[in-house]
Amino acid sequence: VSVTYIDAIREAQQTLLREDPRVFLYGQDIATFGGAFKATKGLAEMFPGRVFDCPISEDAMIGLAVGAAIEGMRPIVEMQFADFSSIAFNQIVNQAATHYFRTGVPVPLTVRLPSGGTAGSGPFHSQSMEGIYAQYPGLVVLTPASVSDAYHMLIDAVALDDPVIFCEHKFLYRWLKAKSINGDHLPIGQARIVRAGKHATVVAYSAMVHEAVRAADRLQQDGWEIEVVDLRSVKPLDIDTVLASVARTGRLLALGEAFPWGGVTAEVVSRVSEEGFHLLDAPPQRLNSRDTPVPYHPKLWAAHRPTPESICQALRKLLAF
Amino acid sequence: MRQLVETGAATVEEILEWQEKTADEVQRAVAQAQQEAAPDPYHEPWSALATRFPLATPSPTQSVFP
Repeated sequence: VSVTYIDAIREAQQTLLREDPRVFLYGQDIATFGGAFKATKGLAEMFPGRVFDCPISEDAMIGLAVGAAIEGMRPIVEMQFADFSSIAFNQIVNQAATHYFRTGVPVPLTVRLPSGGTAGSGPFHSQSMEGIYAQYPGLVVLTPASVSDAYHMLIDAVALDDPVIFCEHKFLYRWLKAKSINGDHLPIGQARIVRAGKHATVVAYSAMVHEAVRAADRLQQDGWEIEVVDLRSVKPLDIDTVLASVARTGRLLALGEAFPWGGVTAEVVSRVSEEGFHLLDAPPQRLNSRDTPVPYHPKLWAAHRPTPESICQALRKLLAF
Repeated sequence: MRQLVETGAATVEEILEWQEKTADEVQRAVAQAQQEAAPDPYHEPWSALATRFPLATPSPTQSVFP
C-alpha cells in the first residue's frame, strides 16, 4: 500500500473537515467532480454542505473566503491552477494579506495552488507563483516536497491564523509515493536537510528538491558530497538552517522552478550573501527556469526547467571555483 | 435604489434608514480616530502576521494513515 502526494492532500482535507467544524472547501468543480486533480474526491458526499462548487471567478472565490475567515471560519480554497490565482490577486494581496495589519483581525484562509510544470501543460497551467506571493507581507507561503509534508503542512496551514498560500506541485501529485504518511513532522517555517553533504549546498523547494537529490546522486559517483536543503516553507524562510549548511560546505546553489527574475532563489542568495558572506568559498549561484513563458512541447519544457543535468552542470562550475 | 425597490428587495424607507445608519457609523468612526493619539512607530509591533514565528512545535493533529 502506498500513499501519493495528492492522496495526502485529500486525506488532510478529510481530516480537517472531520475534526474542525469551521473548515469548508470552496473551488471550481471540487464538489460534484471532486476537483480537476481529484484532490477533493468524495468529500462533498462525506461532508454535506461543507464542500462547495463555485462560479468561475477567482476574485469572487477569495473574496468570499476572506469574509468567511474574518467571521471565524477556516476556508480552504482550491485554485484549479496556480496560474489563475492572478485573477484573485487583488483579494489575496490587498485584502487577505493586509487585513491583520490594518485591523488586528486575522484572516485564517488557506489557498491551495496546484503549481509548477508538467509535460505539455504550457504557459497557462505550469506557473510557480510562490515568489510573487512571498514578496507580500501578511502571507505565509508553503511548498511541500514530500508526501508527509503535503499532509502535515496542509493541516498546519489551516491551523494558522494567517492567510496561507499552499503551493502543491502537480508533477508530484501522482509521481511521488510513500509507504505511509508518517514521518518526521517539522513545524512550519523550519527547513529540512534531506541529504547530508560537505562540498556544496543546494537549497531547493517543492519538486526541485527531488531533482537536486538526483543531481547529488550523480555527483556522488565522482566523489562529491552535496547537501540538499528542502526549504518546505519559503515564507517564513528558515535562513538559519541554510546558513548552517553553507557553513559546513562553503558553497551555495539556490534552485527553483520559477522564472529567474527575483523570487525565492534570489532571496536565498541575497540573505546568504548578507548574513553569511564569511562562510562562502565561492560566489553563490542560483538556477531557475528560463526567462520565457513555459513552453507546451515536452522537449522544450524539459529544457526550460532545471534538470539533474543542468543542476550537475551548475554544481560542477561551483565546485571548480 | 430603484432596482432594489422594483425587485422588492427593500423599501425606500428601509434604504434611507440604511443610509442614515451607515453615515452615522462612519461619522462615529472618524470622530473616534481623530480623538485617538497618533501611532508611535517606535512602539508599533510591525507585524503583518498574527502568527509569531518561529513555531516551537507542529500542530498536534495526527495522521489518519497507519
